[in-house]
Amino acid sequence: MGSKIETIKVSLPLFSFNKGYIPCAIRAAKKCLKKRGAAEQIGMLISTGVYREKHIVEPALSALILRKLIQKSFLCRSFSQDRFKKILAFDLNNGACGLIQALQIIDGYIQSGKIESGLVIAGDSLPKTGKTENYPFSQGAAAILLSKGGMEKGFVCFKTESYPQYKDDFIGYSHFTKGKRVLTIDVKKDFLDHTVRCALTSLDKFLDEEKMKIEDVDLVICSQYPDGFASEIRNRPDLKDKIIYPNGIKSGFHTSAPLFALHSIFKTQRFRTAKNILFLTVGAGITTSIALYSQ
Amino acid sequence: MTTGSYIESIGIKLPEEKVSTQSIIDRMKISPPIKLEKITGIKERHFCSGDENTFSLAVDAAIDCLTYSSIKVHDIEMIIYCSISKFESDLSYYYEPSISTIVKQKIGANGALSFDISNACAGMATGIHIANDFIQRRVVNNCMIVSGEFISNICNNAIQSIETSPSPEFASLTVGDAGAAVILGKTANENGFEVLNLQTFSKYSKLCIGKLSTKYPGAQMFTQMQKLQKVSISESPSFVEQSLREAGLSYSDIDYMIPHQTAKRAIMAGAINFKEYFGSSPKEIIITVELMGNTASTTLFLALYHQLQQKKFRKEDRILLLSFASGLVMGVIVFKLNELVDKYGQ
Repeated sequence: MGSKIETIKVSLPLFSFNKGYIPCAIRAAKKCLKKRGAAEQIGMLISTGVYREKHIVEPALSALILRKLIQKSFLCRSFSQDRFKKILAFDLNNGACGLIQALQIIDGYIQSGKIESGLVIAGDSLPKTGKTENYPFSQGAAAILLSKGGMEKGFVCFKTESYPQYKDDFIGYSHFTKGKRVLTIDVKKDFLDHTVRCALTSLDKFLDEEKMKIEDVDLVICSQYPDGFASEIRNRPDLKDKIIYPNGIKSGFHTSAPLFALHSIFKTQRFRTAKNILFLTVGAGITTSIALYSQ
Repeated sequence: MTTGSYIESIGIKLPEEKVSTQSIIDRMKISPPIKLEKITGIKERHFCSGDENTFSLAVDAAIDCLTYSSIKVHDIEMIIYCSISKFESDLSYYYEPSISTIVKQKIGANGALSFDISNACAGMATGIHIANDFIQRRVVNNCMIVSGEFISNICNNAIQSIETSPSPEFASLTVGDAGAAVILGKTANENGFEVLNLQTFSKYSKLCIGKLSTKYPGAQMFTQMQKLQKVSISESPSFVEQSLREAGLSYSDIDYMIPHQTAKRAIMAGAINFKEYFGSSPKEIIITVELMGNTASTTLFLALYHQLQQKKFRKEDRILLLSFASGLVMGVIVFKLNELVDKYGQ
C-alpha cells in the first residue's frame, strides 16, 4: 500500500524584499495544512532544498519552518492537547533528486504505520548574504502532503541511480574570498547532454525492472534544470505528449520543480484521469531519481 | 517474523592534530581569560590540518567501520550522510553534489542508494531512525550512516570574534573535528533497537543558529547556552520516560547512558536532574568530552566506539544514547549490546 498525495500547494515570493525560502515554505505549508485535522495528523516534516536561506547550516530549516507554523497557531491545538505529539523535522539534500527521497521516506513511515501523514517542503534560496555567481534558479517553495493510500495505489516504487563519471559536471559551493562570501555554480558545457542521457537510461531501466512499457505511463513530471532538459526529453517520440512542465513564473525551479509542475495540473481532468504518473528527476552527481505514482 | 535493525559495526576518524583548551585561550583577545577548561571539562580536542576535511573524515570513518563489518563494501545498499559541515580543506562549503554521492564513490559502494540529511547534532541519530525504517520494511538489508564534522573553523572564528564575556559564540570554543560511521544490519525484531524516538521541539529552534560566516572563511555559531541548557534539562526527563515507557522499559533498566557530549558540567547537571526525576541512575553516564570536545553529530558514536575499544561493556548491557541538537531535537536510542562487544578492543 503506497501513500497518496493529499494536496499540493506552491508559494512565490510576495515582495522583492522578501525572497527567502522560509517565508515561501511557511505559506505553502499553511495552505497544505488548511484542511481541518490535517495539522494534527502530521508526524514528519522534511525540508528538501540545496541552497539554504542566509547560508544557515543549523538547525534544520524544517525546524525553523515548524516553529513558525506553530507560532501562527496552525499546530497549537495539537500541541496543547498532547504535549508529546511526535513531529520529527529534518532537512534532506540530494540535489534536484532530494524531493524524491523525501517522498520515499515519508511514504515508508506511512506504510509502516509510524506516522499518519507527512509533509515535504521543497525549495531553494538565493542566500541574501554575500555575492552569487551563475545562480540560475527561481525563488519559491512547494509543499506536498502525503497520507495513507489504497492497495496498489499511491506511490508504488522508487528508484535512484548514480552516474559518478559525471560527478564534476555540476558543482554548487560557497567560498570566502577577498573578504566576501561568494556562492558559485560551476556547470560543465556537457551537463545538459549528460543529464538527458542518464535520465533516459534510468527511465528505460526502471520500466524494464517494473515490467512496464512507456505506453503504461500517462504523465511524466520532470526536473526543469538544466535549461532545455524537459524539451530534450520531450524530443523522444514516445515521451512527447507525456511531459509536464510549467512555463513563465512557475518555471526555473531546482528542488521544487516537479512539485510546481504537478501543481500546474493537479486539479485538471488530465491528472485525475491519469493512471500512472512518473516523477523523473536529475541533478548533480549525476543522480537520477524516479517515482511511480498510481491512482 | 518481523524485521528490525541493529548496530553491526562502528568506525571513527579523529584527526592527528590535538589542540589544547589552554592554547585556544592563549589565542583569544579577551581579558581576563575565560576559564574554559574549568567550565567545560574539555582539556583538548582534535582539529583537521593539511588536506583533512569533511570528506576525508567521513571516508576514513567509513573505511574504519568496514574493517569491523562482515558486510563487504559492494554489498552496502544504502548510505545516509548526516553532518552539519560540508567543508573542503580550504573551507569551501559544498552544496551539491551531495556528500553521500562522493563518499560512496570513494569507498566503492557504487550501487548504494544515497542521500544527505541535515538535523544539526542529531544528524546521525536521525539517519539511524530513517535507516531502521528502510530495513524494517525490507527495502534494504543494510545501511551505512556516516558523518564528517570539520567544525574547528567555528572555534577559530570565535577566537577572532569574541571580544566580551559572555558571548553567544562561547559554545563554539568547545568543538572538535571527527568522523563517525555506523553500519546497521538486519535482524529479527526482538534483537533490534528497543527504542528509536526522535522529536523536534521547534519552539526552541532559534536558541542555536549556525551559518556560513560573512566575516571569515568557514562558519559561525551563535548559541543562547544557558537557555538551551535549561530547556534541555527541563524537557528531557519526561521525553526519555515517555520513550522508554512506550517500549515497556524504565530508566532503571538502562545500564549505561551516553548523552550528547557538550561540556562535563552540563552533562553532570543533566545526570543529577535525571537521578532526582527517576530516583535511579545507570551504572555509568559516559563522558568523553574531556579529550575530544563536542564533535556535533558524531559525539554519541565516538563515545560508544571508545568504550567498546576499552572493553567497558558486556553482552546484554543495555545502552541509551541521548541525542540533543539545535532545533531543538531530542532523541532516545536504546539497544542491548550483542556481538559488537567482541569486535572491538582486541
